[in-house]
Amino acid sequence: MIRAVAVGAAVAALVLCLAVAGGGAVGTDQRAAAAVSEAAPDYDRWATPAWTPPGAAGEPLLFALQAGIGGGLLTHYLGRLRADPGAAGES
Amino acid sequence: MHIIEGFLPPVWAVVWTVVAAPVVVYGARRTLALIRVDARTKALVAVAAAFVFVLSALKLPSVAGSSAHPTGTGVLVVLFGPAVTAFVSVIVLLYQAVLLAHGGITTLGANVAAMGIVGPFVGWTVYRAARSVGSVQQATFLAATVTDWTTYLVTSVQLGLAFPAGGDPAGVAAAALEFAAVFSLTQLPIGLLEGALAAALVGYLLRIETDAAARLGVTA
Repeated sequence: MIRAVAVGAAVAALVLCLAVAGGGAVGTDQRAAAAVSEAAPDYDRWATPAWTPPGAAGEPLLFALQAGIGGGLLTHYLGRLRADPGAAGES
Repeated sequence: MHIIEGFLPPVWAVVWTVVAAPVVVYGARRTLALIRVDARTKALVAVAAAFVFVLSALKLPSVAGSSAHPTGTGVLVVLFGPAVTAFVSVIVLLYQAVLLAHGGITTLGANVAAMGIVGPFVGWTVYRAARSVGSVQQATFLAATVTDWTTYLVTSVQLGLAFPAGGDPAGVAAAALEFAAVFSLTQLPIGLLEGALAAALVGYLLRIETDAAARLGVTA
């Protein structure tokens, strides 16, 4: 379990670094939305997100949290399979 | 591949939700049945689902000056098929829509159809075809890459249908190609990277897990 938490934290830190390093790059989602606005300038956007991550660091931190949860779970269950495939669920 | 909140007209939001919902419900039932089989199967589902969580959180810049995310669905596709992938995808896409404002609730059906249904179904078909001529890792690389690319192609078609360049099918195709051009430069290399990572994880699972070998069509 400690190993899974440590790997999850490391993965989260790596994803955070990647997000910060690539912060200047515009997402293709935004580029597609811009293409929609260009193709249909009269289109009335009828819904917006109810909540957006606060500040410049909010989004990278939440992506890092997602990756950290995934990395921790991946490590935890790979460890179970590796330890003893026949007894993976006994702990 | 996230279509941003509010960027699909209501009629298309409803259409894609109606298309995606039954597959997600079926996928949820399949997933619950799988994790009740035994602890090893549950662990395999968890590993493949966690792989989606990790990869879809990566924001990768490209030489085109834009950034995008892998889908991460390739391992789920080759191990458990499109239905389970649809269920896991809706969890990831909901997390990103609600907490990150990536994608949206109104576009969730369309995004699930792209990332969780059509892309995985095409990738799964490719895996089954490639498996007869190549190794598991080669077939997984191809399937995961094609799954990623198809996901973005479907998003392009969805946007082309909603915002066609003309009233005929040619107008839809022209618009879809325009949107595909937006994604392609960034997504082509990301798809290859995703294929390599999926093949590496599947290769590792083959070394440690006999149930994975059975699921991947490897005879002992």
